[in-house]
Amino acid sequence: MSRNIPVIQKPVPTREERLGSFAAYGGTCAGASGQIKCRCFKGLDRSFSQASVCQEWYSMFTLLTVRNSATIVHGPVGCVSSATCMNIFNRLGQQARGESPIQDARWFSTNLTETEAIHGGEAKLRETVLEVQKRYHPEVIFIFSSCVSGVIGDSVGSIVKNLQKEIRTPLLLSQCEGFRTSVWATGFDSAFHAVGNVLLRKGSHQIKGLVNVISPLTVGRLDELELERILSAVGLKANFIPCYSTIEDLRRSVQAVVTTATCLTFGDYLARHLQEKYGVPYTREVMPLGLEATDRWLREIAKITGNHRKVENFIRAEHRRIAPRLGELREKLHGKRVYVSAGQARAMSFSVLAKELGFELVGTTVYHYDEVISASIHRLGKLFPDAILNIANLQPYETANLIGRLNPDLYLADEITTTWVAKQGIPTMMIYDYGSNYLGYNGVIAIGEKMLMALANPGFVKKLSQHNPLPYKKSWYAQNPFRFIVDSAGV
Amino acid sequence: MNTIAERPRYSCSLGGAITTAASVYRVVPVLHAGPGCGMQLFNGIGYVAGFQAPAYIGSSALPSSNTRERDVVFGGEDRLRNLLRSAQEVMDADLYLVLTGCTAALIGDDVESIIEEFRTQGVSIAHASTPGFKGTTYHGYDIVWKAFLDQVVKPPRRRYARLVNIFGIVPGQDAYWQGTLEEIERLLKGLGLEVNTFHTHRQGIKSIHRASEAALNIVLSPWLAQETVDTFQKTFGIPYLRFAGVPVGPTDTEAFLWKVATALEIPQRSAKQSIDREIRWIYDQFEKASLAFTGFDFRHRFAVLGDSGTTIGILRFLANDFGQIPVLAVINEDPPEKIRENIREELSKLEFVQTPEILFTTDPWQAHEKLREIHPSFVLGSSLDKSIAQEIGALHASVSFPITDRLILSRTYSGIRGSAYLIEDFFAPALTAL
Repeated sequence: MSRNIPVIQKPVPTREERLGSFAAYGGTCAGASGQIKCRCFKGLDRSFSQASVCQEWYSMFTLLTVRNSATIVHGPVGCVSSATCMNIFNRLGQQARGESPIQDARWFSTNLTETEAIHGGEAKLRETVLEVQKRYHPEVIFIFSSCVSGVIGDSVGSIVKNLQKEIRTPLLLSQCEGFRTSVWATGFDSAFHAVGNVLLRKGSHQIKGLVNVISPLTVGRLDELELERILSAVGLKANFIPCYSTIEDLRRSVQAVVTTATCLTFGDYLARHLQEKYGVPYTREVMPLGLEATDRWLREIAKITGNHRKVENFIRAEHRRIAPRLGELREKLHGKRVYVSAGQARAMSFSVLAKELGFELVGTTVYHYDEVISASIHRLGKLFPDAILNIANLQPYETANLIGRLNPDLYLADEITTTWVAKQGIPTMMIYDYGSNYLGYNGVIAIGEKMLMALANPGFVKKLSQHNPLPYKKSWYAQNPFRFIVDSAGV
Repeated sequence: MNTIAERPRYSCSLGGAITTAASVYRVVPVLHAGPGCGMQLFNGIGYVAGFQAPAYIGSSALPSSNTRERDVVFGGEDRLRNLLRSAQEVMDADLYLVLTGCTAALIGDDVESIIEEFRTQGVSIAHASTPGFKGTTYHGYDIVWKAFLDQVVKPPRRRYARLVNIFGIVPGQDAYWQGTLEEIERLLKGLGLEVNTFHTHRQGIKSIHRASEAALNIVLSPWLAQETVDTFQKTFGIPYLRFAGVPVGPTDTEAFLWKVATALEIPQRSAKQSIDREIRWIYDQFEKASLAFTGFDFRHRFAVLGDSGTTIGILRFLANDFGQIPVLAVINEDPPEKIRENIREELSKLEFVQTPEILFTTDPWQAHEKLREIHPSFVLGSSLDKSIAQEIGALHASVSFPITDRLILSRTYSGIRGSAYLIEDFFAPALTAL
């Protein structure tokens, strides 16, 4: 009955293989830009590393909130732990959409134990899929492999292929063994590879004005509303995928006139897939964060949809509308020295935003590098040549050293990293807050206001830093922050 | 517990090992594990135990070898050796505790020899094998204590007749661990005791070193830490007292304190003085609560879902001391078969009401089906039991892991003070709209 549902049998190439990505570098923006130009910008490794995030985590993060879905991690019970955390966003998202009652996402572990480590996990994966089907009758079941299923040699591809013959529900397999890559963004690709190849099929017709906006779970509802406002002002309608999407939203993506992404690092694989397989073109601009970036994002879309005049009129009107408050914000933020840590798209956008909001970029930590952002690095190389560029899949010991040296006025990052920098007495601002607006024209103002608030009272972090030190030796702060970034052959 | 796991109420042994070790001040866990284990387990334990940031060390600051494909093929020993060498230049630690995850265990790295190399050089270092496929968060706690006992605890120089060790609370897995340990410590100090909680007041490595000098081990769980206290008894001659859970409220706390006082031969008069003071204090709180209790006719048919220790403590308090009607207890941490009868017995020793239905299951699907059937009016469980409570029209409070609907610092529902906080929070969902 389900023989016509295709099955993924081979994993996607890693980002390292596909986009020359890597996660270890330390230098300046100008230095990195120069190296990219001479094609000598290459991946390094660390001889001292701290805990990071694996691609399985991000793969699960990509799909967990799809409506009426079920998520199965084929691994030991620990590998599904963070779903509880992601479910916080799942609940926030429903609340922000005014939905009631709020539903928890559905996640499962095949709970591999010592027995399966020896005898293989096929039986348990089967049992789990069938049980999930029986309990919830989801419209789609996502299956994520893990380091353990990989090391013990479970051929998840053929197991899923056999299972698919028995049940009608599409099984989407993301092969995302953590050890395969140091670049967690590979997990997005694994997830979208499954969505693209299993779920999508040719649509009947193009839907006029429909724009796919591929957007990660960290982009909140207020950002969606802002993008909806912008797109509808120029006669377009947003189809946000994959978070909180229905299967229909996902399937409709093949009928869109254009695909864009709030974060191309996240959406790259699916955007390419939609173009290659269904002829839906995509825009390559970085996220619509900042005035200039939003302009360019919108113009790129207009290039494809063809509503130039509307777009130009709208852009002019928006600039006029926010100019007075933007001017005030620039004045207040002028000369503030800021450090930014984030995923590559967000890190680049926030860094470039410095010019618009008047602050100075002293450094940026980017969670990984791939070609998608080379243009942005060149731009930074020109704007802030001496600013630090650190490429690190977290590695807060490097950050601590840098912050100790640079002593910025404000540190912008995710909530995991801000936890540490707060203990150095530096005011921090969370830039993935689900309840805030960062994108679009209103986002520029909202960010500026949020920065002023973050600077307004440093009392908490100043006092905390006097009592609770970071877990590093004093001597570490005097060392070269990139001392442990070495050629991978040496590790 | 070799079945599939839906929305599990625990994580893996590596996770339990990390939270247990990292909450001993200045003990730095070093992960020899996959690239994502550290953050998966922080987001999956501390983050969802009431949004607890790591203390001195944890989450993304944990040194980690971040195993990759090459290590899977050729072994990760050199990588670990490099990591440990560099760690000494960066991390300020009293002890490195190397924890091996699934990948390292499966590829068979000889971690012991590497540890020995560093130990010979005088590095304060220990090792625990904690692959996630070996067990749950709870087992991680036990494995870390086995490692502490084998490699860190020092032989006693003398015996302290008033020093006790506390076991059985797993930091993080018990979201209220800190407040609970502090309350137990406070109560025992009232008896004139010195208390090794290991995890509070920055007691740190010294408390582990001198654990062998205690006069008594106290276990606050019906089954955890059995091997630990057995080893203490065999090696250092330290007896232990096991309690079925953390005492909550006057009745159980009074019994707990008397049992400890008797075991340590504390003069009855001084023990009584301290215990009476606690009991007076809590009944003064009950007196205050009587306006709400009687005024709102606040009586509920309630269910408790959680690990055995938490469930026993809370259910017995609400039933024996606070006039509520227990209808269901769901024990969800998979305690060993042989102690389940004891757990049943503890949940059955109720003074005024009948024994509730008792369900042992790690499967929230089954637990929720049972809630639909029994229809309690108040559900005390995890935040993942909130939606089902809403569905059946019951009030809800988060008392067991995971907890994502409140910030937890040193809050507790245990002991004397904790039972007063529990009463406050028990009324909260009914009063929040006023």
